[in-house]
Amino acid sequence: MASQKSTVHKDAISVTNLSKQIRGRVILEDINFRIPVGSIAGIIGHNGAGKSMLLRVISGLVFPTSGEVKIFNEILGKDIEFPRNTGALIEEPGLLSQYSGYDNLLLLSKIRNLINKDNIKDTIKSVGLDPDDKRPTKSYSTGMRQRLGIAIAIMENPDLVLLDEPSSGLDPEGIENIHQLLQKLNEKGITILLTSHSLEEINLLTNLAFEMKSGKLFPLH
Amino acid sequence: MLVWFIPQMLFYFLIGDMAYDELSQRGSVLLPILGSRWGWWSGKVLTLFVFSLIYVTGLILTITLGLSFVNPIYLNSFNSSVTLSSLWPNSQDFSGGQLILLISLLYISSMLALGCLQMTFSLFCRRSIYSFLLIIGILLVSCFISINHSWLVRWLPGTQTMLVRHTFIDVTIPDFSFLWSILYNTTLIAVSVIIGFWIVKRLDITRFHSKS
Repeated sequence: MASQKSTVHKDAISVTNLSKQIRGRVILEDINFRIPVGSIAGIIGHNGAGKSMLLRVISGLVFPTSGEVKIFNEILGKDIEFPRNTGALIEEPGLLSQYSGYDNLLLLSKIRNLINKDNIKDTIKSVGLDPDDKRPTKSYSTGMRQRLGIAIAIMENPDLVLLDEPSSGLDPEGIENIHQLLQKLNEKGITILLTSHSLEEINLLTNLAFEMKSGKLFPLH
Repeated sequence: MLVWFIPQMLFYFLIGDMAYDELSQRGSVLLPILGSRWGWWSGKVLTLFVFSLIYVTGLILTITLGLSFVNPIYLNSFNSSVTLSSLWPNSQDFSGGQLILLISLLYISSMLALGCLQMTFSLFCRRSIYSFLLIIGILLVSCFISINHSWLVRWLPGTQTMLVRHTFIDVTIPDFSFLWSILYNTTLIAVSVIIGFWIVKRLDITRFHSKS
């Protein structure tokens, strides 16, 4: 699917003159960037710089005050309501705390019925969790919840993955594990846009990077 | 009054966090998978309908079977030939089965109507607790106003569940028919669903608002 897309579209994400204001406060200001299909792009910035808001706008959850977002050449809010075949982890993964990790993924997968139980188990294993762990997610550590959030984002084999600080809350081994996973996904042709506080992580993983400062986006490399 | 009020209050409490809290806590995961805000909203209304159905069925079974269990004489003395007019001489005739059907339809449609209003208001004010308090307030005001203003009863939201205030039982209440109640509730459902969708369609899905 991903390779099919890459032959048709030049850009996975194209953002033009994007601004977002909430109650008069400027959150995003005149953002312009493009992410070519098949790349790993990163955005670095401090807390409150606007990284999560930008991902929310790109994922169709928040409406821009002005400007345009195109995902695989389809205009968000005009051609499509939410980006097609896109997985996202933005801030908290929104888990049902009384269910196990496997059950959380199973319930979500039933909405579209694109994957089976084996696919779910493989996805959970790929993020370093045990699919047979019956504990409710309320007993999970922050890192385990984060891994499960990444599993939700990638479980339906998306063409585009949006990850908000994917290594947040993970131990060094967990970070290494997630980095390997992201590189493997990218090798399959999946486009990834992630945010991070760590310049080291951005430099290590991405081939296109930006810095966000007070709602403005600047190219890094 | 408490027997009428408490089961309803419990219902609106149970469904309190169905809409806004889910949207603010799980919306960023659910909506992109669903692919449509309308899909999410219509799913909420459908879920509310199913909840109403289950709740009212449970309520009726609890009252009828529970009463029989507590005092089996009620079950032993059950007489299918007893009609409404034998209980209220001036009322129209309904059999026990028809009466249960009437109560079920009035309760289900009223709970769905006020439930939709509650969900819509929670999206509007972005706090589930406010919408719960609003519905409780509406029920209490409707209940108290209806005591001394019989001409106003049929216009008050929530009174549609009061079987004994309908004209076919209480002839002193003007023009409060079963059909009126169903039409009233249907209108309230339609208006709430449309306004709710209008809000959902424009709502930014963030986690800025804390759980109430």
